[in-house]
Amino acid sequence: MIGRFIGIVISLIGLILPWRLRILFSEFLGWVTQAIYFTYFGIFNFILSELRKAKEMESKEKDEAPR
Amino acid sequence: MKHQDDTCAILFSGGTDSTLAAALQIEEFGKLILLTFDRAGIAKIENSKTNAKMLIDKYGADRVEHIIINFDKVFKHISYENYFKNVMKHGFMNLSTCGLCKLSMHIQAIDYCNTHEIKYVADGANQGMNMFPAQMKPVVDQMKDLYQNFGIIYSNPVFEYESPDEGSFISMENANMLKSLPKQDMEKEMQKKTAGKILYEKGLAPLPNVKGSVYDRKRQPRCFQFILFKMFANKYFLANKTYDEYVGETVDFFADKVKVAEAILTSEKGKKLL
Repeated sequence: MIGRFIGIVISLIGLILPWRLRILFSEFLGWVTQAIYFTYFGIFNFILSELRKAKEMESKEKDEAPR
Repeated sequence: MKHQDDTCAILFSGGTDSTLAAALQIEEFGKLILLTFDRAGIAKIENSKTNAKMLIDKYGADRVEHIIINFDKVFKHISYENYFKNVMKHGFMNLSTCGLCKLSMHIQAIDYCNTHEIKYVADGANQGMNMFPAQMKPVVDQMKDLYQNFGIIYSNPVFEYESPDEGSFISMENANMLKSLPKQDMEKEMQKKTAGKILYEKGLAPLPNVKGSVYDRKRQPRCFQFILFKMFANKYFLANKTYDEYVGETVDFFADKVKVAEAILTSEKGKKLL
């Protein structure tokens, strides 16, 4: 519902804009989308790499533990 | 080689599909002209030179040539001619920026071919990208008719190829895409008939699936207007209509726009835009 509303508003703005302003508006949308996308995946990849390191530490400790 | 003495123009972005279209057509034609199109709103046009150079190095500078053409005026005219009337008739369809952009490229390509007596044009249109008007079968057929009116054969050598799997927004595959070359299941990728796989087999790509990766993005221009188009198509149109209705309205819209394209190519006033 919210997504559809945002889509309609953005489409309406795009429809009434003249050529160069529409291009600038699209650039703005593009950079906002990229920022969200890369922030999300930056955090996602960071969490994954930390989990991977923790797992490696754990298995290293297990191997070094006295038998 | 079926057309050894003929030249084929390729609508070339530098991405996997247009690069494979070129790699397939060079086996049929004596010479290729890679046409890349530039306008306001398209950034990093120089990215297209990477794969163009790769093709030139592989097949020879006497057989492959790369040209960049500006099409600002044509695109502006196609998008905004009789604008109020078109908005009344077709509504938000006027935001089909990707389709209008591709139609403008076709117009410019026809003009180039007419000037240089080239009778064959190809591009990397693929059926998997069927949200985009210029890659929908009925609209592709409209484009073929447009070319035919000017004595040119327009073909899509990679149209039937499969699209690589697109990971969902939150999938691991998308996380991999942030890296220059994504991790992938080679065995799985090699079983598919994708443009990437064929390019990989020809030694023209490092992996079978590079679509959407940083590697792929660095080889083609960047344009953000597709976001506006996708907002309208996904969030507004397909939210309460079917895909078939979407295709129907797209075909109607482009039927009108193709008439404008013909007028540009045949009238003295239109030719000033080229």
